[in-house]
Amino acid sequence: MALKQREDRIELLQGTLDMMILQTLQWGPQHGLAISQIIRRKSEELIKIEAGSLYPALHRLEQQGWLSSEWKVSEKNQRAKYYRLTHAGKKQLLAEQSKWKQLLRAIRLVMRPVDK
Amino acid sequence: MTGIFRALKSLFYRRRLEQDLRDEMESHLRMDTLERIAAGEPPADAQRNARRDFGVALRYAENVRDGWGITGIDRLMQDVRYALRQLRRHAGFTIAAILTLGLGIGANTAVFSIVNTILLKPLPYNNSDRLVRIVENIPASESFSGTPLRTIGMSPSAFMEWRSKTKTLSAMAMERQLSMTVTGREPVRLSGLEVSPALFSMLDVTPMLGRTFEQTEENSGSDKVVILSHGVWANRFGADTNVLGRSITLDDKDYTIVGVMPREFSYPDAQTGFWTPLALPLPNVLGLPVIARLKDDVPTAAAAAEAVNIAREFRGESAADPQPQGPPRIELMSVKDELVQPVRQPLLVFVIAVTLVLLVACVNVANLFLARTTTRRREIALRMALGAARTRVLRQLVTESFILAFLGGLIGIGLAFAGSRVFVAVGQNLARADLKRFELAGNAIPRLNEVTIDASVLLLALAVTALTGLLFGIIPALQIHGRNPIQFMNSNVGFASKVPLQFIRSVMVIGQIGLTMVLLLAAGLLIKSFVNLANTEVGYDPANVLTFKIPQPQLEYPRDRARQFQQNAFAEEVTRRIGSLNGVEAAAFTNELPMVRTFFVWLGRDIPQSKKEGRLAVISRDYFRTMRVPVISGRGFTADDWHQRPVYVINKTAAREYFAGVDPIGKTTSGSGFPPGEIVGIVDDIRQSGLEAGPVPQLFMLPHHMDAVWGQGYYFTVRTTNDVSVMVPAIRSIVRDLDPKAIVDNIATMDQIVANSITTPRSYAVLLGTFSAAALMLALMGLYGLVAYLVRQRTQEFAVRVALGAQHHHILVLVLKQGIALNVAGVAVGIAGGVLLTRYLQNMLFGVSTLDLSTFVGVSVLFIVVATVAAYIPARHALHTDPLTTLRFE
Repeated sequence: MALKQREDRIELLQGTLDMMILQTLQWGPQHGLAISQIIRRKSEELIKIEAGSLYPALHRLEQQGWLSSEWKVSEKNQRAKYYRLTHAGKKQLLAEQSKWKQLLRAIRLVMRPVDK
Repeated sequence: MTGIFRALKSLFYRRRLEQDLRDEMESHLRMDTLERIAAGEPPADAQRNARRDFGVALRYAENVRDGWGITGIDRLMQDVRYALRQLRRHAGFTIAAILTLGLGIGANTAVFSIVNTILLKPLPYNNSDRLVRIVENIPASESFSGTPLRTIGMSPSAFMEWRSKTKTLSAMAMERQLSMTVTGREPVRLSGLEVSPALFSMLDVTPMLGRTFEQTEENSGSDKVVILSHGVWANRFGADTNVLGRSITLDDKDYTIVGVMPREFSYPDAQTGFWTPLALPLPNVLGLPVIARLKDDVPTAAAAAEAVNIAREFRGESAADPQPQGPPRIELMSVKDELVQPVRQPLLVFVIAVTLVLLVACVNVANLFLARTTTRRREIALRMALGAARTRVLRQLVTESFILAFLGGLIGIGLAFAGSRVFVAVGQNLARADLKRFELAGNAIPRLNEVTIDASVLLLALAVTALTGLLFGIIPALQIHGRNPIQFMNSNVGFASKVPLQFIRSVMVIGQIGLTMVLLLAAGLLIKSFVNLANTEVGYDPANVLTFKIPQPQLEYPRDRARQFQQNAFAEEVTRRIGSLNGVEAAAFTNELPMVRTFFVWLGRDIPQSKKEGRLAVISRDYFRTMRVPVISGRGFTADDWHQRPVYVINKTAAREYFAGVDPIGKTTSGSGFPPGEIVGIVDDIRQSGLEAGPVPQLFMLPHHMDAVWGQGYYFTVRTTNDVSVMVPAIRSIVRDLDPKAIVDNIATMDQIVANSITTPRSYAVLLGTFSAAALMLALMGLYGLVAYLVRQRTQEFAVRVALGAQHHHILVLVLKQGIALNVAGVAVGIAGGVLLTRYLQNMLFGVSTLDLSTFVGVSVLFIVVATVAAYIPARHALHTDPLTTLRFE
């Protein structure tokens, strides 16, 4: 799903791309390019998402009813397709966030150095 | 469900979605490029980098489409396209498979539809399974022909008594088929039925117009009413709704039209154009068919028991008397069973034959698919090695099978429709097997007008053949199952398959040859039987003889004697005038034309009861001369015999049977219906009642020496010097001049009549011949394919052998031996099958035993020769083995 091009890039866990897209969109509608740029920037260039992964995810999320889309003109006067979080998408995001927190905690517990 | 809906919606909106996707991709690239330029990259780099970061567009689109849920249908279309490409590439295989499937499906659908309609479907009357015929089995000792007789006839007096006695039958009707001349604008002959009024309520039909008959109309005097069929009403009366109460003239008597039946009604067959009441009693009639309906709550067995008792009562036996041995004297038989009885056995034979063809076709399809297995296996292995999923490959093979089945099905449907239409057309031309009924329009095969192609039968045949294809289509994929596909790709030899292909194919080819042999044997027997019939000496010269009939009203004895003599004089005058026409050698008339009708029995008082039943024919003076019947001894009739005391001529068989060792000429004979008279001549035997019946004793007399009245008019025979058909207009005008109301009916040449009398055996021979030819073609294809396969399999072995010094012809013999072994094994199986199955042809054969040695030997030899050729052609390829080229391939 996600691609690594360089050594320092991270291979994404299954399902985390969807979660990151939902997270990115919680502050307002964005088009595909902006979503990938935001994720790259926030991950300090560690996660770079190819269109080949991004757009299938976007279309899939739309199919599931978590996103809706419409064509709009961007602030730079370009036509672009904007994705917006739906009500169901917000609920999904909340669910993903709490699942993610649990997962992180569990992994931290497993991975912490052993106390002597 | 929603998935399907989404996929369908996606399919409809597909164009829009694709466009949307392209727009989105472009917008992404454009914005990225612009931003990069804004950040200071040179435009060319910006564009390239944007593209690079975007990734592979194709993959992207594919992944998105996955999300749309289109791919199911997409993949199917792809499978179909790929399958079509495959099938086109292997055109030979495809055509063979489609034709085979089409043949199997078509022949089966046609035959099973016909059989279903004729033998299985209920008759088109309400509760028709409760309608019965009363069948009497007359033992040989009581039958006047000296052989056991099975009849549905009952005397009118017995019928009336039975009707008053029965407690198990709700209604009974007696019927008599007849044909009558309708006079009016233009005289025509129509078939009709005289029937008891109870018939219509028994069949539960209501007339379209008017009413059916009242019970009182069965009394003589009030019986001159008629109900018309829809066809006659439409053709003769222009579908006039005011037709009721009008009068119609049938055989010179006026009938009042009281009703018109609906279009879909027919009884007893579709040719019946009118119904009139059968007036009872009828003193001089021996037996007529009776139809009856069982009471609703009466079991058939109870009705049958009652029938036996009533019949015993009629014969003066008490219920306490012991029942005689043998078949029950009286049986109740459903009307449908009785109707279809004459064709049941031939139709079942055709069902067996066509099933064999289907089996051979299925084996062929299987064989074709298996033959491709070798090549397919490599191709499939390649595809799997390149990453195709096993399910995907399987689906691909299934798709191919279904496409083949579908195309074969299309051809099959076409063949089925054409086939059943041909069958109906041929059937309608078949002369009635029952010669007494010949004059009445009607078919030898009942219910032809009901024949339709049965959709369920079609689907079944389609399913059977498709399944066969499916089963064998997936074999290559199954063989690869659980193995490393690579191992199949390189090697030509040494792959041990899970299914021993060669063995399966050999068994199938042997089976195919066996089935085909059975069909060929059956066809051979029927053809031989037909040839026997066609070569039978008829005893007269049928060439250049024109025959026709001038029908006359039914006369009654003795009341109508004067009218009979008028008819005789009329016939004499017609022959006299025709005889004087240019190009006419001789003209005569008779009451019994050969092959057409034998009705009068010669019951000589001086002839022992134990002898063969004799036949009586009335002929005019020049009949022997016209027909060229040789006079063996004594003389024929002369002009002087007309006014002298009666003299008779007998045939050779009569002389031998009745006057053993004594010269019959000069002897006196007599019988019921004719006065004592001297025998003046002996003529050669002629086949009077059909080619398959041997000659019977016959007595010929001049018309005015006949005491009894037969009525219904005479058949005329005219011998011409050349083409007979040019005489027809002149004959018509002679008849019209003599009597404007008379019609010239049943015009045919004697050659046609003879040929017609064997149309039934000819159709049997043609039908089975066609089936077996189809099977033969398929079996030869199968054999050819297998031998070709064997040769391909062993190419390298042969190359090695040749390289080591083997002669080419050694190799040819090697291959041929294998082919011939298969061949002989198949023929042996076929002969065994033939011995078991040809017995079912018994009643369809004439002068040939069901195990006729020459047919069995001939067919076997013929088959082995043909099949050896079919094996030789592919075997020859082994000859062209070039060791160097072949071995280099390793």
